[in-house]
Amino acid sequence: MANYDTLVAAGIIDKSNPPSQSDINTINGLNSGDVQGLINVFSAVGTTFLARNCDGAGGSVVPNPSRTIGIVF
Amino acid sequence: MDAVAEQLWSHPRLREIYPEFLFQNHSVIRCSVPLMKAAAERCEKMLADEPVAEGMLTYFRKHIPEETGHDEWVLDDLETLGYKRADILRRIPSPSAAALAGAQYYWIRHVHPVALLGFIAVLEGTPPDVEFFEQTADRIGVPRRAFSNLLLHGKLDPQHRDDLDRTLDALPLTEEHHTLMGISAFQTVALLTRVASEALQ
Repeated sequence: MANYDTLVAAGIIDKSNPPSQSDINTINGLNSGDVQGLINVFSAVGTTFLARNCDGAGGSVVPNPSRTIGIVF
Repeated sequence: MDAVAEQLWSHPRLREIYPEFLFQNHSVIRCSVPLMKAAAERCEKMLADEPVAEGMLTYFRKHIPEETGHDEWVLDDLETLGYKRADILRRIPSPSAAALAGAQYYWIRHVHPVALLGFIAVLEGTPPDVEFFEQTADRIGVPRRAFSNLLLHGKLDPQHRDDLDRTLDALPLTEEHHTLMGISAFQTVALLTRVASEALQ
């Protein structure tokens, strides 16, 4: 089962409000230890705590604010 | 290009991909100063007949020393990651990187050197965000010193972008000049996207 599906089944990702495809790719690239760790954290502190205290909760990577591809003159 | 940028910097295996990205990066910016020198040479020959040549020449004469050595920063970053300079310089760049530079040589030598300003506008138009790339280095477990090229450009490029904007505002550009700069800029975006995508393959 892909990590994304695991996190949906665990109630961590709301299927009706899915993350971006880029975030889904990142989630599916995580190792099993990280995925289980996420589930453990959510189980222990709940989503309200995370939404209030964690920057970027609901997303996995801070977006590049300059949008630069990184090949710069 | 934004989609490839997002895909690159959020890639779960960015730590493995980053050296390849640096190689692609070097393949492009090793041409920066030679391209500006080629454009400056053309401008010198056009001074008598082309009103924009003098302003462009002033811009290139100022910007060439400012950009000299920036390709070395990328080699420094690769050395920090354990790659030898000589090995990087011996490796054949991708045809996409060659096409990106080759197109500019074509425009400069056979059409008008103003095209290069479209190329520069793309490469200096969105300066790297220093905080984002410091966080990225930390996130993937790579020393910040291996991001020196991006971090230094993050500090310098806002000024360079403003210098280019002032130059463009002051030049007596015709509609044809604007058209050529636009074509060059969009071509640069397309080829730059292809070059960066190759790092992901």
